[in-house]
This record gives sequence, structure tokens and C-alpha cells, in this order.
Amino acid sequence: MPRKKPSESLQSAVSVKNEQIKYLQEKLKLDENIVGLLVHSQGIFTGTDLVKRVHAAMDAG
Amino acid sequence: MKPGREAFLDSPVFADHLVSATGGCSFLIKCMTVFDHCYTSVVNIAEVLSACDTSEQRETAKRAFYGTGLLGMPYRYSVKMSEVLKESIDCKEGNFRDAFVITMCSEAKLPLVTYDTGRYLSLSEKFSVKLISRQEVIRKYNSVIKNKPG
Repeated sequence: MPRKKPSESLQSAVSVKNEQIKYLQEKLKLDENIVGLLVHSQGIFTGTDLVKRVHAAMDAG
Repeated sequence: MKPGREAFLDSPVFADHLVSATGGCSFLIKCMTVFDHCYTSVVNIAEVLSACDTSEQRETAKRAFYGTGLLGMPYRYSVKMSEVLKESIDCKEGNFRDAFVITMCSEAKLPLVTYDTGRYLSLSEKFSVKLISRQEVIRKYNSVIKNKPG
């Protein structure tokens, strides 16, 4: 199967995000901008340091 | 709270959302799709925000909590928390924050969605808190997506 061109992958990712926003906006009855910020906050931090630090905070109790 | 349709999300669910690859659907979004309402507590939010270095990062991280209900602890929960804490100390397992999370779930009658069911196993059994694993949510999500109209 041929690999998708980058532009196609990007378009597909944008379409998935838009679908998620529409679905959650209807479900949560929240403003579109708020849901947009939530959905687009996915992957906003790079690396796994944040996860490690959260686990450390949990273990610190 | 409506049984089976609402859940309490543990801190790593939000942290994972903030660092997960942007292509697919994060576990947090899957939870929001599966459950009618998702909740967390001030302690869980504080844990995620404490992992940020700057105020800008904290403001950005707060976005992961949009759409999630925030639970605080009223005075009457202190009796249950004292029991959970006593159990936690007697068994020499868990810590203050685990006791807090189990108390919140027990009093609010919410199941706890966690990546680490083993961490809460003992306290959850003693205080009748249902644990929902990552795999269970993903199974439910796949079923919801399969049966979604359109």
C-alpha cells in the first residue's frame, strides 16, 4: 500500500480533529472554542518528562 | 451521579493527553466519548500543573481539563477519608493522595479510570470503588465508534 503524501496525512488529521470537536461539542454542550482548545491540547507538550513528573508527584503523596 | 455513565479520571490520563502524538484520538478523548461525564479533583489537576516549568506551560496544560468536571471535598467526606487513611496506614500501602482519590470516588459513587489498577486495588476493594482499566475503556470506545450512526 503506497504511503500517504504528507499533505494528505495532514488533511486527514485535521478532519479527524474537526470530527472530534463537533462530536464533543454536541455531547458536552460546550462552546466550540473551548472544545477546540481541549482537542488541540493533545500532544502540545513534547517528550515524556511531564508524565514522569506527574508520576513522581503522585508517589510523593 | 449516573452509575456506569460517569467516571473519575486519574492524573496520568491528562498528562498522557498532553504528550501523546497528535494524529489519533487520545485516551482522554476516548474517555469523554465513552462516558457521559468525566470528573477529576483539585489534587489531580495540581499534580499535572506541578509538572510544568513555567506559568505559560501551566496555562496550556489547563486546556486538558476543559470539559472535565472538577470535584472538591466537602466537610462530610472527612469521616470517610479518615477511614480510608487509617486503612492505608495500617496496610502500609498507598499514600495520602491515594486515600484522597479513593474517598472522592467512594463518596461520589464514581468508578476510577486508571492506568495502574494495582496501585488502588486494596483500597478500592475495601471501599467498594470500581476500577476501570485502560483496556476496558478502549474496548468500550471501539464499541461506541462501531455503533455510532453515520
